[in-house]
Amino acid sequence: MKNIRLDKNEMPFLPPKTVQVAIYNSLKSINRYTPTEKVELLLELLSSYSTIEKERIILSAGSDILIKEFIFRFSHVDQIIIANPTFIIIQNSALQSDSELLKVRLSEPHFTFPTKLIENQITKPTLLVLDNPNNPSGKRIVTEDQLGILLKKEMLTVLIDEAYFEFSGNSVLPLIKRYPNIAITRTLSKAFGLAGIGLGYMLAGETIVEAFEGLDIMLPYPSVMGAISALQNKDYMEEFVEFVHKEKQTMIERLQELDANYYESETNFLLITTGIQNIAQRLAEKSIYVCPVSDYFGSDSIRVSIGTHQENTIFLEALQKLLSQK
Amino acid sequence: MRKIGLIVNPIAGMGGSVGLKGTDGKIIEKARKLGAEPITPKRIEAFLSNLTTNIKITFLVAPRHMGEKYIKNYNVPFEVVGKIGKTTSAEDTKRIAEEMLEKGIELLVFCGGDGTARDVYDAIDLKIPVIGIPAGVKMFSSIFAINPDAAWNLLKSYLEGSELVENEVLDIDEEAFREDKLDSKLYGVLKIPKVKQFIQGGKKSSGKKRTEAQNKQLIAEAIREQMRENALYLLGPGTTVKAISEKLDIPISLLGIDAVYNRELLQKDINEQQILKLLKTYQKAYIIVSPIGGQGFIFGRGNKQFTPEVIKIVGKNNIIVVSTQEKLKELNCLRVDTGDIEIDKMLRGYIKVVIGLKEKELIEVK
Ligand SMILES: Cc1ncc(COP(=O)(O)O)c(C=O)c1O
Repeated sequence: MKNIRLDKNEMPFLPPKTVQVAIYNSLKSINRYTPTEKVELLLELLSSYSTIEKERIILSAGSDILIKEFIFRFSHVDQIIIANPTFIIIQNSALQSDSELLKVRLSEPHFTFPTKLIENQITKPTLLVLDNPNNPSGKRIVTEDQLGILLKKEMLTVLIDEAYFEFSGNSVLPLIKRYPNIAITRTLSKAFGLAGIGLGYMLAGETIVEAFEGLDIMLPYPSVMGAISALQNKDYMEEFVEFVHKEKQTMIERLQELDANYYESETNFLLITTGIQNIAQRLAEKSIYVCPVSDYFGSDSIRVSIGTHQENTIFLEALQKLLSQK
Repeated sequence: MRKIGLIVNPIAGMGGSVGLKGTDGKIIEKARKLGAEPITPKRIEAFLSNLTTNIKITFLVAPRHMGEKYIKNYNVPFEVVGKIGKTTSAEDTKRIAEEMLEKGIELLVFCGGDGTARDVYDAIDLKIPVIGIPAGVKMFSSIFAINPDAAWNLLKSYLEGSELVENEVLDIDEEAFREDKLDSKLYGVLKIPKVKQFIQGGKKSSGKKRTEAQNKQLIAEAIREQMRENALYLLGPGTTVKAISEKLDIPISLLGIDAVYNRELLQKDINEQQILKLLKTYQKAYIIVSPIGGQGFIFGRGNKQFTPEVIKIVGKNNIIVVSTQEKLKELNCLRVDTGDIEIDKMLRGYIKVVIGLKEKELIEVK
């Protein structure tokens, strides 16, 4: 049976032919380093896409490198605050640091980050790293207003990972123009359907741009060419996003019929509680791969990406079968 | 062939359906008169229905309705251990568990309630791991699996070589419980297997993982480092707190409350009166407690010696909560039930829990 991969929050479709061809053509000069003018062009495209000057954009081979680098560069702080649950790369990078780590439990069902409470904790140099929307809950856990209040504290440096920005349509970007101590990471891995080229970028406040000086990550030529083409044809991304939202709604309706517990999500995945122990493994036995989230929830909970309509249907049928055997 | 023990408490859980709490002692007759039916058969069937012939174990089972009756229906090797009379009691569970131990079982599966867990603890202690299939009405002890299927998964994990963790057995006063007064002490600790995490490969797999025992060591290290001179520390019950005293090389009690001062034992296994007296002598005092696994109580279960008055004198800011991440992740929140509404209110809100050397988690107390 064909493997169904709903475990990594990828887009189930290939980007349009033009983008594929741009990547393919780059292979013809793969013996060369990426030309500087192509990197500049990519920066310009990202600048207009993100509505921010290109001097504030830092490119990287995947946004996870930026998250790790960010935590590393600021690991001289006394304290790192993260959410629990959070994106695994955030947690693992924070664990590598020598600073004290404070995990803040997000409570169901809204998973809101308690900013008011955190205000009192910022009595020493602190780094706050949040994924917003949050993985695996799919929720937006903090708003621009809430963060704005925290950012008045000069001892605080903030990183917001907006990997799922295109799905939520919501960003804390305006804060970057107002405060020097905040940065946002984004990626072409999700809504643009380009996980394989590994291209991420950071939009940074002044202090952070300074702190990142000297970080020149050599970006692979195919990645740069793919990214340029994707941004020049970004209408397709909007169609992808629209598809995901529609398909997510269909899935939610089915989950309601099945009486499975799910959480409303602003991303391309859903957190689902099934009541079936070891559900991820049971589905894997049927070649359906979803992400187990038993580090935070029980083994009956999973994070499921929105796939093609057919993939989602196969997943839902398998789930229904397991539920009926319960 | 690997030997696994199986003991069923045939009368556990009978009280619940007729509104009685627990079936200890005389109450069982009353339950029967009220038409109570045992729920253990359903539970044990649900557990055993997972059995497949390719599982390479021999079951050592208690006689008749304490095990034999159920295993008989499955095509698996088994051996009956011990003898029982017409009616069964706690003594049967204890005696047969001991006999099984002598016959070399490596793990004991039992089906029952908190009372059964205490009997099993009396016989088994920490000698071998156990798996509890819940059948009772009360189920306050955190050693039980959430349902029979989960218990089966634990057995599977164990056979595949999973890690073991220590969880609490509580001693609930059934008389008091029937009058809706809940009182509980920590009775003991049993070893149970941990479900093997199903982790998929790929880019996002996490780094090295620490075991729960290592985490306890790190917590103990963190507390030792932060312990202040000339301050009184009141150490609550449980294995996580016990790890601290081991780190300090102080022989404290596992189940009671002990007073530590300048990293030396001051007084062992003290009650409320003794605590209050110490609090008069020592100006600066801290309480160190760990939540009860599965339920999350930090006060009001298993440590009643920390009365509302004691908590009030020590003050919320001087309460240090410690827990392994393994235990904490099973909890949605922490809980308090001190018996004093005002004190409960004071304790509510978020609290910092020490979970590692330089790691804390902020979690809500409800
Ligand atoms: C919250 C979050 N941030 C970042 C990423 C990874 O992005 P990239 O592919 O750019 O490293 C993911 C992917 O799963 C994610 O869930």
